[in-house]
Parts: sequence; C-alpha cells; structure tokens
Amino acid sequence: MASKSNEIFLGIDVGSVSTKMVVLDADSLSMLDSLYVRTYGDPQASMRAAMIRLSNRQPLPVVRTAATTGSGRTLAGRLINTNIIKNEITTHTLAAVKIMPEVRTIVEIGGQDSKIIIVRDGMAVDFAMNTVCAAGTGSFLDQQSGRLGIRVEDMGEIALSSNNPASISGRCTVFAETDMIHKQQIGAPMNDIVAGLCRALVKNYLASVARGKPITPPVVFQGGVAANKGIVREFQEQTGCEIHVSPYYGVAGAYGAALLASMVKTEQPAFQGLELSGKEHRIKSFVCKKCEESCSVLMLYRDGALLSYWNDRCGRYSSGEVTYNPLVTTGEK
Amino acid sequence: MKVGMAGELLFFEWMSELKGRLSQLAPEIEWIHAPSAGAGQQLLIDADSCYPFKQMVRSSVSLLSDVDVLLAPRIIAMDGFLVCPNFRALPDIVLMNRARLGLNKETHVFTPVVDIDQGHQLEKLAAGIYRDMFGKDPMSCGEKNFSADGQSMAMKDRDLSKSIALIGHPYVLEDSCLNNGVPDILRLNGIDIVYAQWIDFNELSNLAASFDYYAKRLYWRSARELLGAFIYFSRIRPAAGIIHLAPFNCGIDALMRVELTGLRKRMADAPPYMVVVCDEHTQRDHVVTRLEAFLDIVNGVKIK
Repeated sequence: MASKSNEIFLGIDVGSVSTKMVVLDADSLSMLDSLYVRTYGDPQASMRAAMIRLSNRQPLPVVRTAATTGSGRTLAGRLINTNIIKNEITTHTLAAVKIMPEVRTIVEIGGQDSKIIIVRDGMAVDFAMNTVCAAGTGSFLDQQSGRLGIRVEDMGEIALSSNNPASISGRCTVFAETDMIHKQQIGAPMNDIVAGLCRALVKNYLASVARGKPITPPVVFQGGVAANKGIVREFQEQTGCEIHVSPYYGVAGAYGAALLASMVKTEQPAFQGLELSGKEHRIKSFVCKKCEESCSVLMLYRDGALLSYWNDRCGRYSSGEVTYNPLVTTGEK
Repeated sequence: MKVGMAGELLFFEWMSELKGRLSQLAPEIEWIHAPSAGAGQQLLIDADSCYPFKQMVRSSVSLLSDVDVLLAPRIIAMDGFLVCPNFRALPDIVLMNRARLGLNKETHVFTPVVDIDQGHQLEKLAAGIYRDMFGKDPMSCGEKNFSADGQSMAMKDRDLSKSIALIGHPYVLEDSCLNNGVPDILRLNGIDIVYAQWIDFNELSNLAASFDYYAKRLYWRSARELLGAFIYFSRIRPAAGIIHLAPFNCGIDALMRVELTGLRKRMADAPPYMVVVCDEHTQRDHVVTRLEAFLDIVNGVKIK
C-alpha cells in the first residue's frame, strides 16, 4: 500500500550490466515496486525504461527524494535531477544492514564487479573490490553458460544436482574455459562442469577480492549472482559460514539508494525523471583546455536546452562557475 | 650549462638536496626536469618494472635532446637502507635506449652511485659530480645543515584527527600521473591530506624498528618508510584514515600491504586503511568510487 500522500523514495542503480530501480513507500519504507532491466551499454535507454515503469503506476507517485548509485550513478543523477549520488559500497551496506542489522560480512557479486564489505555495528569498516579481473563476476557466468548452451538462471539448480564438481581453474576466464572444454571433451557430465565452475568462481573470489578480509557471520549475499544456488552452496562450504541471501539481492544497490534517499533531510531539487520518457535528451561533450587534465566535460540537453555539466574534475562547469562557450573552448563533439 | 634529471627522482628528499647542493656549487647550472618532447618514444623497458620506473626512464631518455648533461644516478641506498633494485639499472637502461634510438650521442650522461646516509656523504657526492662536470675541484661553500624541512616541522602542530594520511613511495604520492589523482580527488572533497614524506625518515625508521618482528631487519627503505608511517598515523598521531598508494603489486608493496593489514587487525581502534594499487585502475571513476566509499567509512555513514 502506498502512503496516503502517495509519496515515494526512489533508488536507482545503473550498473554496467543491469539497471535496477526500487520504489519505497515514503511513510513505511516498504518496497512498493522494483525493476531489473539490462543496461545493454545504453544507460539512458535503461533509465527511460525505469521511468516509464514509474510513470505507469496509478496513481502517479510523487517522488519525495531520489538517489542514484552504481557505475552510471552520475549520469543517472543528472537525468533525474538529484544531488544524492552515492557509491555502491555504501548503498549495498545500507541495504544489507536494513534487512539484517547484525550483519558482519557482505558478499556482493554483480555483473562486472564483485566486492566484500566488512561491517561492524551497522557500519562499513573495510571493503575490497575487484579491479582488473572480472573472472569472479556475473559476466563470467553469463559467458560460460552461453558457451555451455544453458540459461544462466538454470546454472544454480544444475550445479546442485552434482556431487562431484569438476576441477576447473577460476583464476582467469581463459583458463576456466580451457578447463571446461577439456572436461567436456573427456565426457564429464554437464552438472559436474557447472558445479565446478561455481566452485572456481568462489575460490577466485575468496583468493582475490576477499584476500586478507575476515569473513565472519552473519554473512549476507547480494547482487545478481546470489540467485545462483550453486554459488551459495560453494560459499557455505568454502567459508564454513551460513550464507543469507538478501530477499532483495538483485536490486540491493537500488534498495540501499532508496534508503539513503529516505535519510536525507535537506531540501532536494525537483525530481525530473519522468520527463525522460517524453522529451529528447542529448549528451554533448567538449574538452576543457583550462589545465593539463584536459577533462572531457559532458553536457546534458533536454529539448535543446542545456541542463547540467559533469565529468569536470575541478568542478569549474558543474558548480556553475563558468558556462560553456564554443567560441572559447574547442573540441565539442 | 643545461643539466637534466628526471623530475620523478626529485621526490626523493636526498635527490632534491643533491640538486640544491650542486646549484650552490655551480649557480650557472640550468636545471631541466620535464622533457619538452619525445615522451611517446617506444623504450626498451618492457620488462617487469612498475609504471613510475618506466616513467623515470622515459623522462631521462627524452631529456637527452634538451640538455648538455644528463644526470642518471645509480641509486643503491639512502639513509642506510636499500632502494628498489630497479633504480640501480636506471643509467644502464637510459644508455641502452640512447644507443638503440641513436639519440644525442654528444650529451654527457653522468651516472653517479648514490649510497648515502649522512649529510657529509651528500657533500662528497655533489663535489664528485661537480668535478666530473667541470673538470676542477669545487670551491667550498660551507657545510650545509641538513635538518627537517618546514613541512616536517609544521606537522608537529597539526591536528590530524580529521586528515587522511597518504603513505607510499614519494614519487607516487607526489606525481598526479602516477597516483591516479588521489590527492586531488580528496582535496576536491574538502579533505585535509598529510603525507608520510612530511615526517623525518629517521623517525619513521625508528618506529619501524619498534615493530621489527621479522627474522631479518627490514632492509628496504620504502618498507621502513611504509611501516613507520603506518604506525605514526595509527598510533603516535592518529589520522582519520590511511591510504596506501602502491604503484603495482611488486615485492615491497605486495609484502607491506599484507603486513600492514595484519598489523591493523591486531591494533584496537586503528583508523580505516585502504590500499589503492594505481596500476590496476585505468578509469578515474573507479578510483573515485573507492575513495568515496573510504570517506563514508571514515565518516561512519550509518542507516538511520
């Protein structure tokens, strides 16, 4: 049930693989709606899809405050006109602490990144993220499920049916694929290969992302990969801890962003997300020559009118100190 | 006389002192530290060395076109402790690249050995370089008093409880090309920054000695600097957070990040600590995400 005033808090998580949206009732903070769509390299389009979903709600909700997170958070923030733009480590922490206040370890594996967050007394105290290697992420599973000819959604159940996971290297996608092909060639059953893949991913995560971090219960598992029961089983076996999969695992970042929006008491600019579906939005860029940084400054236009700047490292344009003048600044695209 | 020395080397206090001493002995020296061109040359340094070292080689080789004399020191040890062995090879790699690229054979390349611990050794080193450059003995211009600089003195009075301490190799901390712009990003977020290099090395080394639990004494200068700075900013004068900027996961940094993480676990109430491996980030936004999250931890962001 929506609040009597029909007001909501909105959280949006624009990730490299998927875009998520969570709608919270402004009074009770209960989740009224959530959306998970593929980004497909076009965050504007996925944002538009989210806003169409929001505008289709009856009665039309009033967004009290909105927040964005994820790797596309800055762009998303500009598109909907919010200043609450937060990194995904903090939003995932908020989401996990909300569902389990006593949580001490958060495992989060998304499309292209994975992280571990150490929590004490409801606050993050340490974290680590993957950097140059995506071997332990959802994309890795996506890629391998495609190669095996199965749906990624089915991998978990297939893995659970195996009692003899095949030995597969998880250090690198290239080596993993080589090992999987070898197992297929010698006739290893599909479920053993899939279970071996799950084991390899968890080993990789524990040896790289979680290296040196104390994994102590309670452990909450978030991110799209938490849907894979084979991975959950492996985490339990390899860490010896019970793994609690968040009920909002797929949209946890957006949920955390919405919770963050609910915590902000200062006045926020008017929400303009719903205009994404009806008006033309264009992004232009120019290279600022003010200093050696040569920032590629981005500009958002709605129906031809310039709305905002971002990606200028010094904040010269985004703070409103100066405006873009093509006669002075070269390099506009 | 135009004398070149890779600007990255000047972030070592001793090398900066050496330059100062040479300038005293020969005021006619015009120093050049940033090459005017040629930074894009393909150099023979594809071996397993870090980006900062490659940058020093690149700067040195590119300076050959701009100067009469290039100073490419063979740094072995400073303050009595060893420097990364790559630095011993700097002159050899520079000369090898000059020969291969057929660059300015007329430019003299001086390759003095740097193994200094005391001020008088620096005097001797500067005098030797002067002699090689000018073919005569230098005039005495008095003993220089080597003491903590203004920055180091100012640290004594600063309240660090809201500051973020940056620890790591001096050339990584100081050069924005090598540190992914971490100090600038922190400053843009209104954060006060303090550097390990602002503390006298002897103080850091003594602090490191107090935690010497290894079978052997830590003989790498940067390891002592890191350990000492970590103890200083977590125990002696605690900062709000400590960020270790490592160029890549090479021997000393790889060892120390594990050791410091372990040490922090054994300390009660140690400030938040994060390692940023600069080579692992190609996009500034990836670094921004980590710094934002780290600052949230420092600020104790909590669900209400």
